[in-house]
Amino acid sequence: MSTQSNASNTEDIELRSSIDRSLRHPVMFFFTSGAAWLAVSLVLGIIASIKTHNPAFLGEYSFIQYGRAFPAHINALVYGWGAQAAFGVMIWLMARLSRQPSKNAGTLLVAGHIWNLGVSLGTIGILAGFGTGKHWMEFPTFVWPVLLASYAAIAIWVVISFKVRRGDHAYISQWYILAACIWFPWIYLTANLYVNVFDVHPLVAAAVNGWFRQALTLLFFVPIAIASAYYITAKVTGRAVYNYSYSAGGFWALAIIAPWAGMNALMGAPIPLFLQYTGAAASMLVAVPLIFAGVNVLKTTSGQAEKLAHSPSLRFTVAGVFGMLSLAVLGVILAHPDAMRYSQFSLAGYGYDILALYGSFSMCMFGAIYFIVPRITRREWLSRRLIRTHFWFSVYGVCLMLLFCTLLGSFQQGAAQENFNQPWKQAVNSTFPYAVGTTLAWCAILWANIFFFIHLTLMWLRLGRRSSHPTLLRREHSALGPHGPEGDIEELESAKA
Amino acid sequence: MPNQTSNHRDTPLRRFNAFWWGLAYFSIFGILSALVYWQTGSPVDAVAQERASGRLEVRAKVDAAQAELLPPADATDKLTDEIKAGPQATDQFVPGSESHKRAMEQLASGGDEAANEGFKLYTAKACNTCHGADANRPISPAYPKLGGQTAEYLLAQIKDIHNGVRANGQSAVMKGMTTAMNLTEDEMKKISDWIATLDKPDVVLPEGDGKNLYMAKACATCHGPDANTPIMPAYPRLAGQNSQYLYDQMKAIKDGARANGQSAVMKGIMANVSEEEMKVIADWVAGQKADQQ
Repeated sequence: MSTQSNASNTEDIELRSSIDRSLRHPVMFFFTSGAAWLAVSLVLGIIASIKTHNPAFLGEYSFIQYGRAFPAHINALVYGWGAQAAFGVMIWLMARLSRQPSKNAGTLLVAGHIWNLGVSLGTIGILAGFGTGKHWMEFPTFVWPVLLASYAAIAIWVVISFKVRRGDHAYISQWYILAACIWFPWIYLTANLYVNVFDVHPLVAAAVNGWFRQALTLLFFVPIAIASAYYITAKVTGRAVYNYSYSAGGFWALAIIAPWAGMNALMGAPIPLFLQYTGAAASMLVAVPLIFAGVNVLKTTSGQAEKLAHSPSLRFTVAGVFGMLSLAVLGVILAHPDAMRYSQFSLAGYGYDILALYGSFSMCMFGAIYFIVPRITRREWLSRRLIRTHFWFSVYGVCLMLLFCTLLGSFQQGAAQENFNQPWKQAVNSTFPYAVGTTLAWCAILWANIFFFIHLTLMWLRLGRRSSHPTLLRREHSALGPHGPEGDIEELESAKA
Repeated sequence: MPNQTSNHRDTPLRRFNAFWWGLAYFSIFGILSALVYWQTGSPVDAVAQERASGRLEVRAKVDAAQAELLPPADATDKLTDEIKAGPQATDQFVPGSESHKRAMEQLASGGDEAANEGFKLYTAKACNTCHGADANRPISPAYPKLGGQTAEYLLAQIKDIHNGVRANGQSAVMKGMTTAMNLTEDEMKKISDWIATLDKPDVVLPEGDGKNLYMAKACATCHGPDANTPIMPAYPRLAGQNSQYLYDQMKAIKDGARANGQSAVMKGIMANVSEEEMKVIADWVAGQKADQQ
């Protein structure tokens, strides 16, 4: 019995490492180029944010005026970093959970390069003044078919890998990934057809655009984040997910509620009232699936304080889950029709997007990256300090953003704008400290990610530590150093045998 | 114990199916959107067209009324050409004209406090946005040049426009400004006093039909033979004023659209002046730049 389980254990390890090996290049490509786009987006975000409180900053350069820097920032964040991090996690996680090595690394890599080319052309297009002016769809219109085609070339292998999985069981993470995989082309294709191709009334296009942003967040980024959170917590804590019904309930609740959200962005516009109010109701109700998933993940980690403190993956993931829970609460607050009076035309929407994209999604992706990269490069992360800096400055940045941009600043601004007894300029002036706070938040996040980018690049160059001991965020010292014995993994294992 | 090395589900047929079904899933909503679009994108029905016709009529009326109120379409082009040609032709260029430079120098050196205050208010209350930095370069020929105007006349006009007594032509814009900028009477006075100290528009009035008409219609009786020496400070200086503005005001006074202050006196005189004559007088009073003679 014991020999049999040992043998199957060895086979299992071999299978896992063959999966990791088969996906090493595409996954690392998505992560590193995603991190580079994140850096670009953060620099543009800081410039745009400074311009909100100091309009003359770099004013003589037309290519980074606010109207170009801001859309370039948000599009690079969504398509450059967000989508690529999601692709990397999607293909790796699906292959691992389907227990099937990938046979299409080359196609993935080519499609990944085309995706990057599309994002580059789009970003340069925006900076050169050819942006379309539609939120999150500012890339010049020739870019979207390119992105959609390369998306199909990437995601189709995820679907295939699910269909040819070993055994009939489907994990909850697979549900979420497969769903996100199919939802993305739905959202992206429908929105682009209505906004860029069909000759519809401009209000329809605006409403579809409002839906697009919310749908892309809730039906693509959030499911990927949840999939990764379930996987990482279960793996790192070595436990089964706390409650299976919560997972299933959360998934179906998200699938049913989230597609309705988004058109509340046009509250008060001459579109049918039911669209606005259904959008508001769905944006609030989406708290239910988010809380299902969040509580389920947190329950899985309960009592594992030490692992939570030491494992970078788990730490980032749990921080991302807290981001998701605050997103749920904020959705309820900001989308309430009474609050929309204050939040609709203020910083709040941006704060909500950033909390979703960075505070929740990106933090979960960082957790996954800290887990995946050592496995596919067969090297361990170099430095605990770099990881700690990345973690804490990200957390500071997200908290500052939440405080200044999403809550205080937005309501202060909204209330000042609603007060007709004072001149408009007063409303602008009263936002000043919060705009500065938002810039500070971005600076903290940039600082965090400079370290992340350097660290990831070193790992990509296979300069990571050769050790069989993962880099944990422990403080104690030992004779062998904090990471245990150094040396090649194979050597160490053969020495043990 | 499932065998780890073989996977009975991984067959070429399954991969092939998954590939095509996957692509079908990816595109299904695009196809659905297209169908919905083509189904709902029917031509506008007769009722909608009937309803729209009313709206379009109103819109045409509004457009026509607006077009009438606006300065002629080529006015801004002319102005642009004038401004472009300006720096070579004259030193009166925004913002570097002589009187503006003087005001700036005076401000820098401390200078006369009352005058400085007027200058500062003129800028701070955004008067310069429309009338130009030296009060003599309005952005539109429908706006007056102000430099060197008598302080009494200026103050009276600002007050009348602010109180709605003078409401013709572009006064609505000016009223909006005086209200938005919270101009007090004291501030109006300071601004008027400062403007009165500035250079008058630098023009020469030629001999000819214009001058004859100006004399014949008795304009000179009140505004002076050189259009620059009114018999009382409540009457404006005219020489060098924008021809478009002069013409608009004569017409407005004749029609009764402008009835503030001393306009009643002028209205009687204007009864004998036709629109063609107004045009000739306005062009003459506007004068010519010295080097264009």
